[in-house]
Amino acid sequence: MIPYFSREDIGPILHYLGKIIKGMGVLMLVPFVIGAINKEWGPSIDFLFTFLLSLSIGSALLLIFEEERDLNWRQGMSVVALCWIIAMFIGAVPLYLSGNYISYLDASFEAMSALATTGLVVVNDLDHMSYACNFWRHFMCFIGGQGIILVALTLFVRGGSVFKVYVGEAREEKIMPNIIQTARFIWLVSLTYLVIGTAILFAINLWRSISPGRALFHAICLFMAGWDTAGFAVQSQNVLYYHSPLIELVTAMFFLLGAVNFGVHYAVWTGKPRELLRNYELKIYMISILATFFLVCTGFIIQFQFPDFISFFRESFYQLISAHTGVGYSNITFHNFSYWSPLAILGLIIAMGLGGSSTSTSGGIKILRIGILLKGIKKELKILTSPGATVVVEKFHHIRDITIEDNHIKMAAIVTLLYITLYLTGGIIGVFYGYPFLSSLFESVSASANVGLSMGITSPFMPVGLKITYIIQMWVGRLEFLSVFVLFSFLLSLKSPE
Amino acid sequence: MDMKKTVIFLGVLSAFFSGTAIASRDMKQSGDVIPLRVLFEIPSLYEGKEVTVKGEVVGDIMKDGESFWINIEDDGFFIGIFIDSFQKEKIRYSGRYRIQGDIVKVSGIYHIHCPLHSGERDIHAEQLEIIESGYEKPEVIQSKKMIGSIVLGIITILILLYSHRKNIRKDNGGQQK
Repeated sequence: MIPYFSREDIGPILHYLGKIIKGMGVLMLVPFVIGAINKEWGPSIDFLFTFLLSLSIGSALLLIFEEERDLNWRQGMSVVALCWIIAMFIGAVPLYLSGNYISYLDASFEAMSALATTGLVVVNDLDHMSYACNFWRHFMCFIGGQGIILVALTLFVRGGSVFKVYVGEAREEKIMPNIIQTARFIWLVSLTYLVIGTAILFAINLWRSISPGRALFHAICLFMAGWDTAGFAVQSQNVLYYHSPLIELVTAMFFLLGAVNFGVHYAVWTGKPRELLRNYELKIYMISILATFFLVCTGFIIQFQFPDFISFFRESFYQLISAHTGVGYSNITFHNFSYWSPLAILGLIIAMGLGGSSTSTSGGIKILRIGILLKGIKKELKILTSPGATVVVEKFHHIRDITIEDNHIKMAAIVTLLYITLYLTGGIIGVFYGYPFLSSLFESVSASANVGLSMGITSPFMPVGLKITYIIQMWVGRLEFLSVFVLFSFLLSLKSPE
Repeated sequence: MDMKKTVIFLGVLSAFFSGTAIASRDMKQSGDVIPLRVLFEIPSLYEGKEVTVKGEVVGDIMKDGESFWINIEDDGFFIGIFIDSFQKEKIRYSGRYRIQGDIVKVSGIYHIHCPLHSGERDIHAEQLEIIESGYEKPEVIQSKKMIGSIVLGIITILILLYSHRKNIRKDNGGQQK
């Protein structure tokens, strides 16, 4: 059913957008300070400019649409879908002003890639980028990974609007009874790991003779983009830059943690470590990692070009878990895929498409939905093979014991189907622009599932149409369709109010 | 006589071979720089062979045991170079914001999957020379950005002042009621 919108919906939507724009502006002060500390006056002015721009637009919207009302469901969803687009446009301003992007579209692509925690990049000359601007790229990953709305929730959204916008950002689970408490818990977990992860990476960098300032900068950025499964890196070569299996191990540890459901984190934090063994989603996740890795290994049986097993494992397993968790960190260049067999690449595509856990920083279909579909198939098979009067009940443990209902299966099937459609659409558009199907599908899945691995299609020089396609895929994939559909129905109903 | 002829023949022969060797060495020294693009696009041609590449040193110099890693960039392509401490001392500038890194010419063994470094694509430097010294670049601040910020600052202050006054008016109105 398409929800009916009226022009009266515009006021509350723009009021909340005004708040979020102001919030984005305030966040610009962090890279501004970093720029000022490093005496990067040019980039500091860029951030000051964007801060003032956001503040003036946000304040003007709040002035015009001053009445603060609780959002209803459809307004909340529209605010979420729109705020990601607006955050992209605002986040792109300092990037574009930096001169590292050939167009504002490229800067917007990079901003959406960061916010949606994708990790596909179109930046030029990253290795000469200012600290302020480079930090902003990674900071956007952190904001987006936590959820722009989650950031807003903890700052200034109050009242009955809270749950509507929280759900719109693809986080339907309430870890704690109260959404604000849930938001604060997600922050607590993330900030705790931020401190631990940064400290470990900082120590490794220092041990490798990197100067303290740069060691800290690399550590913070690497952690933010890893934990939030974004996959951006400070230098063009991504994780390969460090030439360090130890850094690869530490980043892998943290992005695996980031891809775990925050509900599981909560259970472990509150003294229930058995949840790790009992959680159905985690079990399916492990099986899925092993199954897709088996595919990759099988692909390499045909053409094994490594000097030893360690080299093979380092390259193939790192790419696989990077794909499956949706982080997109890479310890190779895309040229290495030239000797990956199509089957091995297909293994990565499937891993990317499946994604990580629900209510985590990962994208993709999400493992819980796959698990529900598997249970649904099992249930249907049991019904088919049981005597007529038998009542078949399927249960699984995910934080609590859940009995599978038809509605669960239906919702999981719809979202899975939508993701597959999104993956294929992007793949076909890539083929339309002349790229081989496998590479196009790889890139499309990488964008839609917010992964960030690339077979070389994504670059500043790719067609404009493809850049726009990937931006839409990253946006829709991050929000898991619902709020985007509501927004489109809103826009359609504005055009034909009858 | 035969002995004399043999000596002359051997002399000519050795001159020819040493000349060829010198010419070939000179050729190698003077050019034969392989663009990094080629090493990535047709890597099997150079696997395990000595190559000469050049590029800008970017980022950090990172310790690995007694040796170091640097990364060089050539026309948008990057590769890790494994160098010793003597070669490391030659590098003065490493590319980053406001710094143009040294342009180095490196000769060494190229591996698509280095057996010493768990399968990394790298070059183990045997020779490293700076062919163009790096330098610090002055920061250019565009005046139009400054002017834009000032204008936006004024607009923001006006909006905030107006909004503040409106709120005060609303509060006063509320009290009167």
